[in-house]
Amino acid sequence: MPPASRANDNRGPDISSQTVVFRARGLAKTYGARETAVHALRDVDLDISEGEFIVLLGPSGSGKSTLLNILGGLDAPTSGEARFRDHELTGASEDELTTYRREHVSFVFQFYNLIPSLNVAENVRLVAEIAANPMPVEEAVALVGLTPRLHHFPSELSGGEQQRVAVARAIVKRPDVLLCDEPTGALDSETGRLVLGAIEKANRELGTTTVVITHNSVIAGMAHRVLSLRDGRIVDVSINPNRKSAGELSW
Amino acid sequence: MVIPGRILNRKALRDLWALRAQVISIALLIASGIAVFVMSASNYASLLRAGNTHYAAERFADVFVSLKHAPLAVAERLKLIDGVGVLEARIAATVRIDDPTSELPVLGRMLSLPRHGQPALNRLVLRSGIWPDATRTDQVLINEAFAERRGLRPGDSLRAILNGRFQSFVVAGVALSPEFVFAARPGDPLPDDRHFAVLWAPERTLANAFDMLGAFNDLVLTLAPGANALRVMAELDEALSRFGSTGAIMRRDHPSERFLSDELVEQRTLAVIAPALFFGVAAFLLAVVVGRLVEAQRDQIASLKALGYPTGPILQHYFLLVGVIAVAGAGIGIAAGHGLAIWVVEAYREFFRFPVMEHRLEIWAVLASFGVSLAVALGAVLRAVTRIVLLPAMVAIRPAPPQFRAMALPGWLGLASSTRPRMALRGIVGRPLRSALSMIGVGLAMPLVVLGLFWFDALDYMIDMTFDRIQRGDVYVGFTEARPASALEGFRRLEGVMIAEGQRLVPIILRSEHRTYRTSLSGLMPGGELNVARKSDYTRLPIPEEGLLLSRRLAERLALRIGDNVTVEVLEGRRLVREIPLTAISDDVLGMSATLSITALNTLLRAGPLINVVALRVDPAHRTALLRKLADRPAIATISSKKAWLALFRDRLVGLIVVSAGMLTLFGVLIVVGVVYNVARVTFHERATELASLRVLGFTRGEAAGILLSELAVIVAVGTGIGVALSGWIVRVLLSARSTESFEIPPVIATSTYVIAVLAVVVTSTWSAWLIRRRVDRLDLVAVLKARE
Repeated sequence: MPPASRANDNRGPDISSQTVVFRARGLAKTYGARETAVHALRDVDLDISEGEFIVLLGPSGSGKSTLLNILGGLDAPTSGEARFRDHELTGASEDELTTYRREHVSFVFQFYNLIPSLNVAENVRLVAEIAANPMPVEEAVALVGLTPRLHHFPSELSGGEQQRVAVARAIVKRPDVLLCDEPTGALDSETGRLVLGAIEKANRELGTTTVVITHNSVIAGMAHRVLSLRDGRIVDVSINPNRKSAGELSW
Repeated sequence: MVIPGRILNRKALRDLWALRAQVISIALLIASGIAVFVMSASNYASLLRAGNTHYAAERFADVFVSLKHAPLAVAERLKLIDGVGVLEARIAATVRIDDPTSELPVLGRMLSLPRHGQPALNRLVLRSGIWPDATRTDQVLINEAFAERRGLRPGDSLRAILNGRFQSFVVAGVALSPEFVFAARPGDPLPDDRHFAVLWAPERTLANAFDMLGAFNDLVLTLAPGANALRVMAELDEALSRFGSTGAIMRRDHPSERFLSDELVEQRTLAVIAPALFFGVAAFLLAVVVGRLVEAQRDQIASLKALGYPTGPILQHYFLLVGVIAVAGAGIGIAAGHGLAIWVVEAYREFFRFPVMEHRLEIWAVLASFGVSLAVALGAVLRAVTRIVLLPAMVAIRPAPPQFRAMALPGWLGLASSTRPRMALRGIVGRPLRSALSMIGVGLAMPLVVLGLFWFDALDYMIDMTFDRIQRGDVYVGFTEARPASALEGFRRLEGVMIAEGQRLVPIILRSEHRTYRTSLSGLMPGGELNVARKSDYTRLPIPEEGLLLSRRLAERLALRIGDNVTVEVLEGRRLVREIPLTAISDDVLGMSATLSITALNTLLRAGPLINVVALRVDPAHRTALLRKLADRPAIATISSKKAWLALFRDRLVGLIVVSAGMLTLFGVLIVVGVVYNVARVTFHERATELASLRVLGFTRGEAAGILLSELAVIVAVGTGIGVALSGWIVRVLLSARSTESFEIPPVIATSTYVIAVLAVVVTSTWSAWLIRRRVDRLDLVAVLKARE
């Protein structure tokens, strides 16, 4: 099958028999107007099932981050529709998007964005405080293997440790969706594997639907499904019959 | 060759534009300081120049003596005293100007003009009309303030009572004199031009009316260069005491000069204190704002240096940026200060009369404004800029060292139960210097508002204390000569008089060791209702039967304590000198008074029961009729009315106070906006990533902004506390710096003033907070989080 035709068939993962949580149709995002307009996304259709682990691959400017941000309620599409369960994301107000993020979504970015004035436990508790059904802070920290560092401040941690705190902070509220934008981009491979391990654990043990953006195609081995983007379109979808665990990856 | 830095200068200007709101708020603070400085410096220079020019051109005398009556030959002998320059004898008299429409008697100070032309000293400046004909006795010159207030012009006529006899005059001309730059009735703290006139008439007029042919009762003289003023005055006193001299006084004790020099002191104080305050705050804000800018640009600086760019132009372009703020602030300040000075010079005309009172923009003040603004601004940012710019490129390119470590934070901060208050508290504690200075900045703004408003409280207190509790009479009547106390009975019988109490006032000099003070000694009736001595808590202080009672300020000035003996030298009659013990100290606010029981005073004067002032409590319904009846009595020299005095007070002062209160409140608001807004902006930029993280984690805009705003709220709250504490202190310090002998403003601050000042701070802070809140709302989450801070 030619890639172009496969690209249109993004609707069902089939590897997972569970229900579709994300549903996007004809999603487009344009920045700027007229001559200077940049089409970040063009006519994307996508369904994501509950508990699915998806990796988005693609060069800079291919539209991966825009797609992720729309899914996470950080950005609004110019046209098309996007829906998470019963949340209509297209045309939602800032407050509705905030509620959506608060109740369902967690992010991990390339730069850890921890609060420097709060220690590890406090950074995690910050999110637990606004969550409806959080796990105990210590449990979230234990999930990323940082229990001995519980009372350290971000400035006292290595980059990998900080990123694992970011993951702990992301999973403490038991999110339905975990969105990661280049989570290992600033880390060496060994540390990167530790972080990916934490993300994988959340996906496996908590059933969190997970979307990871990466430049690093090796990471695609962890995914149920790999979507490749180019020029704002999904140009390739591949399904991993044999997923690898984070520890098995090497780059 | 391309000069390195031209493009960087363009960057500096664009940075300025990006920071425009902060730049404007800081420039306005500099402008406020400069405006007050330029205004006060100009007023000081204008007054000093106007006074000095007038004094020199019209030969203002150095020493003044008034006496009862002495033959002119005495004056000739006095000219031989070593150290006397020019000496001129003249006749001076208090006259009543007849005005049936005036409720209060109009008093005139009439001075003789020599037979030929201008006096040798205290010459007059003829503003309109002609010089009186020395051969006629019906022409006078009048002072300009009275002429203007009364609408009198040369050729108009005027009736006066000289020594009990009516006499008609024609106004020959209108004049100014260096003796009456500040023309107030003796003892009045404000000029009342409706009820006080200065008249000059040919010598014959006064000599005839007051039986002074071949005699004089007033002397003015200059000192020869290098003369010992005190010795000359002592010789004059010795020679003239038997002619009823009340003692020679120096120019600096002359009432007109004293008021002028008081105003000069006040302007000088203002020119130093206010700019120091504004510059302190502006310097702090510049250090914070520019420090943040440079910190945020450290990677840019490092890249430029890595590319081999020289350090000089990099430093220079930051200084250009700061220099533009300083110069803009100074420019606005100079323009505003110039405008204010023109307005004040106009307002001065109500109080001070000069032949020429020019307002000039002082070049030295302009240069000093630019110089000081630049120096303060560059000095403020010097460390912040050089700290980063001078770093080696590879050090600079690394981000700033981390701020937070577990051990660096006090344990009690962990006690805050929830995570977000903890963030806010750590935000404050993590930057201790900035937080402390921000609090102090807010703390300094409040006293400005208080300083503007407390005048109303102080005046209320002064009026309440002085008129409702100490001098409780509605009308005070002064006699031309002391009369038996039985004269009171006549007053008590007048319709409308409810209470009449007599007192005796005599001019005295108080001496204690080397300290002396001229004042009047009042003999009061112990147990009287209308003249009461009080403590500051309003409790009544009985008039001692024997000993002396002094105002606290006078006792302090003479370094006297209760029980000490004071030498009292009476300046009239036989000039008796007595030692009297100080037995009580009172807390009156106006004046420096000395009080004795009237019996003790009359015993001291070896006189019978005499009085020369009567205090009256008057039925308001009969007030006007009563005043008119009293005005017709020739034995009455002065009548003063509480009501008229209060009206004059309001007329002259309230407008000035409202304007200055408004200005100071505006300044206070500028400081609060400057501090709160700038600190908030800088904190916002530093925390942009943090706030964006919170938003992405699902915190609402309000919750995210709440952390930043609660940090500000703590700063404002602590600052307000500091402000409340500082207000009273600053008011007291400023008042004691401007304290003059004319009168002292009591540092009384009403609760309502504090409430208004706190409200001003809170409202201004809330507005600043709202501006920041909008920035938090508009935060571009994606852009912030993907950027490497």
